[in-house]
Amino acid sequence: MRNLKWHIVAVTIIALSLAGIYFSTHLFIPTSAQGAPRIIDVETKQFAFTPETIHITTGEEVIFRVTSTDITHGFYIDGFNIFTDVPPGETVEIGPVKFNDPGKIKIRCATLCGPLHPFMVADIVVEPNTPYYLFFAATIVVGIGSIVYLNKPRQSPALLKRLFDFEIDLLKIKKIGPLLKRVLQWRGIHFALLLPNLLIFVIVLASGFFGNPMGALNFSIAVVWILWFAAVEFMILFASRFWCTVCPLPAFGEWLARRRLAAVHEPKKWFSLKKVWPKSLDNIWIAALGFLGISLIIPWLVTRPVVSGLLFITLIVAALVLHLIYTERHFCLHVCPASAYIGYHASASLLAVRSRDKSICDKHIAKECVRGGPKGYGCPWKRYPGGLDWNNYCGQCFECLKACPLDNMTLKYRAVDKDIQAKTHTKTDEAWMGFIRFTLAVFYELVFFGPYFWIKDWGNMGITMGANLLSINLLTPTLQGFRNWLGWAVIVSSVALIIFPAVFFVFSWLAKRAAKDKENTSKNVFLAYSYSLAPYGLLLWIAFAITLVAVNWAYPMRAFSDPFGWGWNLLGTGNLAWRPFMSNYIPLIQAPIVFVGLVLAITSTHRIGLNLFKDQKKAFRGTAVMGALHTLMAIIFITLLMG
Amino acid sequence: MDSFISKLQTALRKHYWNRFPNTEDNSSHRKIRPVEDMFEYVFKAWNAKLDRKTECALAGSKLLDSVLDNTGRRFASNVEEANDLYLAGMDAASFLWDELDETRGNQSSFQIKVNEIITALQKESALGKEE
Repeated sequence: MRNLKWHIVAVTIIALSLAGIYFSTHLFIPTSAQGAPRIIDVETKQFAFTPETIHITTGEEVIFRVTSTDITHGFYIDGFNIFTDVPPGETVEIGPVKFNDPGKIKIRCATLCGPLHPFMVADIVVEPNTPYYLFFAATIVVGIGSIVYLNKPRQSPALLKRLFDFEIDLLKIKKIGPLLKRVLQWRGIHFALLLPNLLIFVIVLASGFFGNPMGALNFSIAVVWILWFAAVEFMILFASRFWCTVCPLPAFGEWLARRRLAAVHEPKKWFSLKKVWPKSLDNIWIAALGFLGISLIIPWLVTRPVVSGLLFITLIVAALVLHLIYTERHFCLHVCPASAYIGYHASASLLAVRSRDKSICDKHIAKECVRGGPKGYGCPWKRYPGGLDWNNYCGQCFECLKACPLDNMTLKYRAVDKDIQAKTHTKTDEAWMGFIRFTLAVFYELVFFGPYFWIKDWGNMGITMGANLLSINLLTPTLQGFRNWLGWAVIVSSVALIIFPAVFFVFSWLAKRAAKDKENTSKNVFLAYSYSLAPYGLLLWIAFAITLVAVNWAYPMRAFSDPFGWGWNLLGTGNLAWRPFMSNYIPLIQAPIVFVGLVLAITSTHRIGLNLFKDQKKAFRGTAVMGALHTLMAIIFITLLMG
Repeated sequence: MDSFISKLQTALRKHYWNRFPNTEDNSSHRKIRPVEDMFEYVFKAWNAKLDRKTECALAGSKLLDSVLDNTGRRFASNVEEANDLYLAGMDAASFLWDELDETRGNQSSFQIKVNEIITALQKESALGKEE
């Protein structure tokens, strides 16, 4: 009964918050400003609007007087059907435009103006920014509500249990299960999934080196860094490491080392030195720092085809060489930056390859899932699949499903924090992967969709040209440009590697004190709590991915028709006009996603606390302190999106 | 030699031979086919100069796999079946691997050993049928 009351209170708070948001944004609009429309001068240049943020009163009419100081730019406002070219040397008047809805919307460049064009934005804040204030308040309500809810151990109602505490054996679902099992146990499935992806990859490389130097018009940028980049985040949540199943990067090395494309063990020597991977490198430090390193050049990477091409070639060569030296997937395990973050967040995925009954695996002597057998290779990720309780290092190659003669391996759909519940060990490298990913979610949002030009420009080293292999020299930065980039690199690295972890440590230390715990070391508590960032960070990245796709979806569609940006129109989408999809509603979609992330972070923190302290009261106290930090982080992100 | 043969006989009798109903084709060749498959694997692996431990273990798995194939199954019924056949297969493979080492891969002497084992097994499988 008491539980029911709590749920009623929680639902009422959420309902009131949502009603409040709706009514305050639509009913309590201040009377419109009197008199003639206000004229606002806006100057455009590669890749900035000045002013970066424009404040307007709700109901006010505005005429934008726009000029360009370099080349032709475009002018588009989210939610308004305005697409205007702004040629250099001309003053273009746009409006009057009446802003009836309060909140933050974006001005975007609507005419291709250079590599950073998709990210040339400015903010319009229509005051009073009630959506922001309400979502700010809602963040606090969600944060505190989640913490208070965890005050006492409760039996979740059936509906919540079904939603948040389920585990389904996908291979046992009627009709679909056996079919899926047959498909996954078919030896050719990996190759069949990889092959189309490999063809796409060839186009990515070719267009990267020889296609149009303008990123938005090039397949290697438009498809990889808009479509793939966003899709992977969703894939992690719903399909765990499915990308690793179809990733072409390690394929060449693996095929060469095994000396076959799809078949399994025959008595043949592997084409590999079969060296043992160094123990000191048996972690994800290289991959995590690699991801940070790549992020430091992200304004180049996602806008210059040749930079992407070079990165992919480097990764393929690295994968090939490592396969030939160490045989198994050490490239994926220890080196690949994408694998590191996909794996880290995969622990918060709904999908997992697991054993049906661990005790059967333990009793089974042959362990074909580890050593390999007549029907499948041993785990190329060097795991014991039968004992898996953590998604990080399962590459979903499904070899264990094929190799197991006991039909004990399966595919499970389960609650997102199942891995965190089962987590028994902590690792520093994994913790830092979490800090890096979380910090970079904030930075990416700032760099790509924030209005602050200097951040983009510093990361971009001040270069305004796109480049392919033939014009790579255009990427040579000035000394000042390089200095600026160095400054940016130091800021980003310091926050990701030192400042955020330090803040997290302080909070975890306070949490330990609040819990009056003497059993665990501060380091252990700090590392354990860091795993709450796995679901939280993933949801923040999903929020980021939504903007990326909703605003820029037209570029990949064009690139499918014209991969090299040479004016082809193979599929009829080559001339698709750039039209952002519901861009004025994006923050309203993103904010609830951030809330889900916040709730997951707090509930995960509580589960971790229970594992650590073995006491509900202590776990709750710890959660209260860490929950405050999580709520603070959500407020920062909501402010970036809406403030 | 006797110990691994008796282990192999026990495992096959328990998990393979007794699966043949009287009406089915239960020719002696079919009854020893998994063992032949396994020995063929050992011979190939030895000639490819592969690692003894790994390949003998794989040969054990091969025996189980072949038993499953010959009984029209994809999976073993239980862990006991999987373990028994695997261990019996591995022991037999190790014995033959050592024989190959000793005779430096002489095919005819290898074939003699294989025939000895197969004859012993055939006798046992026939006895099993009579029982």
